[in-house]
Amino acid sequence: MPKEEPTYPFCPDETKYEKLAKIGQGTFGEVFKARDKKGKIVVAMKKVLMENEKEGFPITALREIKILQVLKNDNIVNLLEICRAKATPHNRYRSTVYLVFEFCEHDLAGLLSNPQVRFNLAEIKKVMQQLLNGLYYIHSNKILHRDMKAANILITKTGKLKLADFGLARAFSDKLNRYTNRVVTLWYRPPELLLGERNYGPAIDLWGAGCIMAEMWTRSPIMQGNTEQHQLTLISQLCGSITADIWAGVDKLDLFNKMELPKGQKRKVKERLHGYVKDQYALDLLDKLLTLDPSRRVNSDDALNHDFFWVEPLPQDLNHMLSRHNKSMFEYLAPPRRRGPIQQQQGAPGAGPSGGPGGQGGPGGVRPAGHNPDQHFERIF
Amino acid sequence: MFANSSQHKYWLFSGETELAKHRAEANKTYIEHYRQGQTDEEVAKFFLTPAEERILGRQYEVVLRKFCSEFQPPMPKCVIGTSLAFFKRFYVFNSTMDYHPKDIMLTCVYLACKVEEFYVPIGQFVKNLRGDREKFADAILSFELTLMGKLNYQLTVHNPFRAMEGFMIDLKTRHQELHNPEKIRKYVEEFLDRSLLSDACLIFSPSQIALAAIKFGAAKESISLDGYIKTVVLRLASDKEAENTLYQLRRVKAIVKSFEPTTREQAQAVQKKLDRCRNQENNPDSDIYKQKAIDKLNAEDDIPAVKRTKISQDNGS
Repeated sequence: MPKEEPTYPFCPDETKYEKLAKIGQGTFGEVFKARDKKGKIVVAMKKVLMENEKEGFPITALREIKILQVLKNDNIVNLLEICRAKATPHNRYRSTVYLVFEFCEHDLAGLLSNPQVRFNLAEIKKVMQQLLNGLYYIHSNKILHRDMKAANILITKTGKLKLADFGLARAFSDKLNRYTNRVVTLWYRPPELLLGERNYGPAIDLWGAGCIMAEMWTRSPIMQGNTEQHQLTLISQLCGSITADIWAGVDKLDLFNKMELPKGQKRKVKERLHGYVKDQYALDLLDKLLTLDPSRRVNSDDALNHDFFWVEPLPQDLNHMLSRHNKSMFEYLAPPRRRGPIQQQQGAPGAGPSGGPGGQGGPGGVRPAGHNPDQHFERIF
Repeated sequence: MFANSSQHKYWLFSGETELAKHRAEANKTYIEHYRQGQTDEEVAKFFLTPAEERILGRQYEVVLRKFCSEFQPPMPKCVIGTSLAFFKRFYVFNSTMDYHPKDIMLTCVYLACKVEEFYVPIGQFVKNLRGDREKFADAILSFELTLMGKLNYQLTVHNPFRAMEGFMIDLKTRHQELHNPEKIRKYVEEFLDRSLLSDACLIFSPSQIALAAIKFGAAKESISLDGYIKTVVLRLASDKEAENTLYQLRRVKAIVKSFEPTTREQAQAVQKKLDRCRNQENNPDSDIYKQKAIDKLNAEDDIPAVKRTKISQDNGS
């Protein structure tokens, strides 16, 4: 006599939720908007892809679960529960696991791609303050995000910002480490990773915060490299030549001699962004976030104390501005942005870290493209 | 932090009595499901009793620890601690008749390697086993999700090793009467190793286990750390709290010391019984399990076929 299906009292069946729409493509699977049939709560369900996993449950998903069970903060996406779809003939005997999150109406990339959405200076301050506050919290808990980009910054309809997608995140220590440098979407990847640094730290997330901050004005990613080499060229053109004079020890990095680094470039962060950003405090903070040398890049604590947040106009809640928009805005669902050259998608590392985390990191697994293939961005630099 | 961890919230029990109650319930649930009108006498002959299940569980904990200590590449202590914690947690609410400890044991170690960032690919992992390695790999991977589910996805384990190192540093800085704390290390570590085979991690916090190890490790060198514990560690505690802590330390010692190794004969008799009363649906060697795997493979083969029909339909229209 076959025993009845096992029950998981703490691990509810996925049929508890009813899927409403696909809203995104996460690091290791699809994301759906869904509704709790009983409580009528709206949630986001992230599917953990088990196909092609020779090593069982992906270690990246395991890290995301472990990390999000510990991180509980207003500016971090809230993991509600984990649920499992039973292996039945209906789903071809594949048992699937879903991470269930509180639902957020928008992501920053989606908002920025909609010209109807306009942020004033005080609102931009609120976005950046919440973003840096989230980074301060995770870094104090010894966690690196490793995938900062506008599409991973969620914003609720009342204007609360949440860092999301911890699919590449991991714990770090202050000891000498050898992590994989195949992390962070290319356009947001800091120079130390591009030069092969494996003993990196929280500064990598602050570079991404700088890129996102600039994007608040430019409305498109500021440095859209097609290859790692191209990305380094774009960085040098904006932040100045990468030399041992301004960055002690950079010449010791594995790829320093293997990459072509433009010489004689002057640092032009403030000048070039001035066309978009008029506020002097904003320009100064951007300059500090986009510092080449990671050991001199501003940390989240000092960034939060920067005058940008403490002079008029002070940070202002987004709920008023967002109340004018009653449609969800996600990058995944956004219509193509106007004009702009077509990005190479297939094979070009522009779409995400090729191959995903490897090294001591784990089984890797194919990382889906970070951007909607139909998504075109206007070139900034 | 341990204080707001899932371990503190969900995986600490009041004591052996409560653990025995949960285990007896798991035993009873399984038997009620499969007895099919057997009399109590027949049940006692056919199924394992809670006591027999404990013999089996304890024996596999010893096997697990041995497997870990011989593992190549050598694994850090926290991987051993986490593997054993997973194993013990699993069998608080599940019967060994439902899931055979030999399958769960290996899956616990494999999962603990991932969780503790000591990642070993499955191919390399099973090289530590003798026999049909492919079969072992299949079994481990097929039980992984079940194990995670039964652990309620609460995978962070706080082991006593870090707390112990903390106390060693504290002894050096705040208890300098003890000139060379390193001389008690050997006994302290022995105590922690023994604690891994007891239910201590299901009853006490890691720091209680670590402090007990320090206290009773030092006692072996004829050193009393009672003064350090009362005036340094418990300096800010009320009399009642201090008394309770000392009581808990004695309890840790009693539980760690109470471990009795099972004899070969005992274990063999139980194993024999288990071969007949175990749940065949969870036995990778059984026909019913193999049939399920075949169904699964066939179902997977169907996918391209379905897609192809769809494409040809599209072409036709």
